[in-house]
Amino acid sequence: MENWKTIVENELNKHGWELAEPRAEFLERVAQSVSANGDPRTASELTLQRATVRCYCETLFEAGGAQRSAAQQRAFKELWDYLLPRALYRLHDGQMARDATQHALIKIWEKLATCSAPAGFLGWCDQILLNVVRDEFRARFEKRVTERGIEYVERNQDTYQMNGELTRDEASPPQPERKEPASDLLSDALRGPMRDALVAALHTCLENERLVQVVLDVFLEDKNYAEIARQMDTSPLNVQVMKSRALKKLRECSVLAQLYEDWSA
Amino acid sequence: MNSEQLHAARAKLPAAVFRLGNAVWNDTAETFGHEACRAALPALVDAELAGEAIAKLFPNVKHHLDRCDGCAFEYAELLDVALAAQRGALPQPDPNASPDLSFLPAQAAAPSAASSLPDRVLAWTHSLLPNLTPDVSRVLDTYAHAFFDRLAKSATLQLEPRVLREQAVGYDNFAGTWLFATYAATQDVVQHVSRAEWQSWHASAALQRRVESRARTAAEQAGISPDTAARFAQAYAAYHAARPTEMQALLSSS
Repeated sequence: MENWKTIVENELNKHGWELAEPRAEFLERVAQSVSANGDPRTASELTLQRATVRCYCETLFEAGGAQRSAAQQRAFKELWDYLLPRALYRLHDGQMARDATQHALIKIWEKLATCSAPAGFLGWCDQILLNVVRDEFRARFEKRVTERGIEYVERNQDTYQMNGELTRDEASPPQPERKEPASDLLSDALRGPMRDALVAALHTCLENERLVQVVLDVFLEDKNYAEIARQMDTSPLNVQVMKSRALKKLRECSVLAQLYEDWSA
Repeated sequence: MNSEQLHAARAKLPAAVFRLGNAVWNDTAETFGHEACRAALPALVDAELAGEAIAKLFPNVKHHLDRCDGCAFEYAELLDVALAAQRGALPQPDPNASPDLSFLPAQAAAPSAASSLPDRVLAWTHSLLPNLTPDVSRVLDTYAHAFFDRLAKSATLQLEPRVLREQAVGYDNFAGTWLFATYAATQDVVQHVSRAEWQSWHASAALQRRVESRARTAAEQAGISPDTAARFAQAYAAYHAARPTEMQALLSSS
């Protein structure tokens, strides 16, 4: 089998997806999905995997609406298999996770026609699951969000311990290794006095290097949340919490307001 | 500092500085809203997992997230779980757990001549699509489920044109449009044409012309544009002229 087809097959098998039939037609759709960027034989493994998932999302969406068919039953079984581990990750309780996933399947069925982008169907389903988890299991979910944040720190502590590098400073919270101070990462347009004034104001208002770093990375460097999380050795959720906390402090800080008024004059 | 002052000074501030100020002080509604942002989140998560620069690919969404806690939390949560899945860190559930799928319609028995009006309308729409917009046939059943569910909640499948127009709200897609037109045209024939009249049209070779005229009027009265109604009516009439007994079975003998 050609290599690109093997990559597609492996992706389908990894998830246990069985609705990509007839197979030749599905492979053709994947090939057309990547063909704007060139021959599927020259596409990267990641590109082919993403195309497979997108095309399968469309297949799943269609099967979900194929009323009174075996394909529809299979589609919802595959949605259960996809969503249940996510519910379990969010709730850490088997029964709650099964209940949440069951409720999510019913809501997916009810709202199926409102999915405006079938190529993102699985992500849309995960959004529905998240809303069910937040609405119906709020206390448990919020407790897990806190636990997940702590798990990130503890996982890094275990790594440092294995390498024999644990120090008090590294233990809580672990400080990221950066090549340059955060304030040196600003774009060229913000060099000079404006940069210095902004960084000084942020330090005065926030009093916390990590909050300053998040503000600079999110707003002034326009970085992806995943990238910021990786660099700060934390989770995207914690990045969002820090950003939210920073904005609240900035709203209450007259130093930043005065700076903007001076610039606006 | 307030949002009015900030916006008045926009030209004096670098874009990034304005964005920060906007997130800090601007509480007003923006042109790119929550619904649009939430609809884009799955695509954003996919791009993040692939390491693409979302600020370049989805600038409006990214900047809405920067200043909207509600949407940003949802995004961060979806991203967190997706990253966990990517690194293989999702827990394995009990393999014996299975869903209760009794909320889905029971699997169909063999087709029978006594199919209901919705079944006929759906089958006819499927047959018309190759001549209209073939690409949407895969999603037709999905829209049909929502469409007939709405009608069922209206207590009757016999609807006035005004109500049909109201039911059309939200169906700005071809699958929904053709289904809707087929339903409107079929309802018109079933309500106003007797079996004897239908047979008379067929015998005098007037059936296609008559059906096309009625179908076009019914589709336009239901709110479909004249050009689209004309295309639909032509396909609908041609179908029934070739298979006159299918509609005949639905018509009243009186």
